[in-house]
Amino acid sequence: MNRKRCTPAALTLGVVLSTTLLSACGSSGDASGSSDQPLIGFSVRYVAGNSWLSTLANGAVDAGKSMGYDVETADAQGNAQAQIQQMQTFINRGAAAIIIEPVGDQSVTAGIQAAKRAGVPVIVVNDQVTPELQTQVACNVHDDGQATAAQVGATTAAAAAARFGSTATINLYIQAIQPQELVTEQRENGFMDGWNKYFAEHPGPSTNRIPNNYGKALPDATLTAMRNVISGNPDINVIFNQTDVVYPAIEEALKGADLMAANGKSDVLIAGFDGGKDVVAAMADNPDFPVVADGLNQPATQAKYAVEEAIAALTKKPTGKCEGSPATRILPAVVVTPDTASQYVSDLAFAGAE
Amino acid sequence: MSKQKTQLAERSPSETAADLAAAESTEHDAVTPAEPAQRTSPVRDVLLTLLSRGYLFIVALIVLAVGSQLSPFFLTSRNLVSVLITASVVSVLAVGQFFVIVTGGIDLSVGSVAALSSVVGALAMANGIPFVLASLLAIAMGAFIGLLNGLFIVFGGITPFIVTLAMMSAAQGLAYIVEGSRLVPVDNSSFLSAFTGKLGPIPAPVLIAAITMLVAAVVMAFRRFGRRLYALGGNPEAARLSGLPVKRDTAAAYAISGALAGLAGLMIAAQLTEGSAIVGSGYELNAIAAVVVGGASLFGGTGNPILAVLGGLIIATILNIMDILGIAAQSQLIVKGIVILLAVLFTSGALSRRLPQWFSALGRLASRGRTSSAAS
Repeated sequence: MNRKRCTPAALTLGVVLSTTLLSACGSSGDASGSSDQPLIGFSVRYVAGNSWLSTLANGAVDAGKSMGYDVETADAQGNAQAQIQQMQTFINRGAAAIIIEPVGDQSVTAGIQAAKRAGVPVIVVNDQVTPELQTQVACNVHDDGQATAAQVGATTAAAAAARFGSTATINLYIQAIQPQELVTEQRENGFMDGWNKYFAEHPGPSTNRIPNNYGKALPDATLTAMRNVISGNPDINVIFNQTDVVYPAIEEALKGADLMAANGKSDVLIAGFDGGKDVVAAMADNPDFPVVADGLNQPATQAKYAVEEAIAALTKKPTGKCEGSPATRILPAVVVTPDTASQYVSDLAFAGAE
Repeated sequence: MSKQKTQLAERSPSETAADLAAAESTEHDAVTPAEPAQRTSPVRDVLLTLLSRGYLFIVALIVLAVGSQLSPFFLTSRNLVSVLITASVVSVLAVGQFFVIVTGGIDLSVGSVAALSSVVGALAMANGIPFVLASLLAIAMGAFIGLLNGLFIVFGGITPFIVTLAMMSAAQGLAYIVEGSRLVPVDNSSFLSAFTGKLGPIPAPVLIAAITMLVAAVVMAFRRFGRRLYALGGNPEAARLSGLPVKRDTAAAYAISGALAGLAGLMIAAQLTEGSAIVGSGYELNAIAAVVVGGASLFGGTGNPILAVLGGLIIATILNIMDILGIAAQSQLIVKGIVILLAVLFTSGALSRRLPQWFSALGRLASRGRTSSAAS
């Protein structure tokens, strides 16, 4: 058999095998098509590989099911053009409403405008779009990252004052996610607002900021960043880790520098964000665990709110909870401490919960 | 016989291939040719290669000196060990990448294969498979993917860039599917001890990287397979016409790269105590950068695994210094880019060839200026 004849056969075989494999794998969002329930499309920035956003996506599917709607998720894989295309596909398929967890604040403009022209209401959840675009969608559902981070900052400051004394100079480091990015900046600004406010009201210790380093919410990148920062700042006192997804990397770096014992005990105080299941569980169970505060942003609850608002928009029966201009529904700020952690372990759908 | 072959990398590619083929043929005939008096020893060849890249050692020394001046924390044993541990994963990947680059190829799939390996290894241990078997499984899986890359390249006639780009995507997708909805925790103490513990004062990751590098260096310098890879990268057509097993060696090079990516994935899993599909992102480019900074040509036929690791260490050390100094991430990216560009300029010989020309041109301009001003 010559190569020219073999190539089309190989390609056909490849396509058939791929299709078979993909159909065998399936996904939570593939339930539509045969369903009689109205379709709500949900385009998510990432699903694969991001436990927090996976929880958000799965939460929306579950919430839709319980309310009699078929929520179908699509993974935009961080690509704005893919997200716009997915929104257009949902419109073409007659979706009654579309929820987006936007790839960018401005880059989804074309998708939102296409939905508006087709009369399909759009709900934006978690990340935010520009103020101009916020007025063009039915509801903006998100947590108040800055307010939550401010509570985390204040709680951590109180713990630091108790630990290091009123005359100490506290070396504070923020393990950040991404430079020049909205969520990163909100969490940093919020944390510092809470921290500074606490010490303005309780003067004493001074704060030395160690410059931020960025781990892109990737465990391996965070590990490298943390190792290098600790090398240059072995007297580090407080770490604000902006996402619990990378907590194992923080722990490993501290252990490698002999700043943490094998059981997790450390003189370094840690604050977290995202309400990682393992982190909150350890706060509840391990009295030596160094995390003193963790900001919850409740992906499953955000998903439920988004689906509720999508149904309200398409049935034209407002929930009364998405208010103002632009229409916004904000989750209350929740901070977990070691004292309160046990009550959240079983009640919340954490990032990464199955 | 072996002396004859070790000298080949210093000669032209066609000569190299022909000589290698002749050497193999002679060996098969069990005839020992007379050794020319001027032929050198393999050890001397390796030393000469390292010395010919002496600028890398000078750069490394400069980096160490600058770092020690800029921060008192830099030249501490704790920090240097930290740099070595941090660089160990990329070093293993760089050695694997070197095997491919020396053939004139490239392997973009190593980061994704490392991620897949971390997930496969972690899942295997979570399901009760002993850590040694789980590790072998992950490495074998990496080798298999690498072999697939090689087979597509040599029998499919597709360029390495495209094949490994496609495999990068496929391996990442597979890692996501295998991982499921959440990260796979690793709590096997034997595994963690083997990959993150210490042997005497030496951390296990550093030891693994060092052994990998040395084995690769021995293979490339003293084994027929290594010499054939140089010949193949230097001039594939000459190698083929000389009767060398070009296809087999190319596929083997990619299989080695895949296997080492599998090993790197296990090292990551141990350091993070979890298998994760999102790790390894960008590692392929870091490994390529290490090999290139280490003096290898992307066109193949040159370089050395020891220098590839040294190249990676230089990059890691510079990034470490910038982190210690608290330099912003944006600026760090610029510095990293400049380091790679400068390294390639030196490596390719472009700078060293042209600098004298530029100086003489400047000299001519200056003398013209003096002549014209004297005339006026």
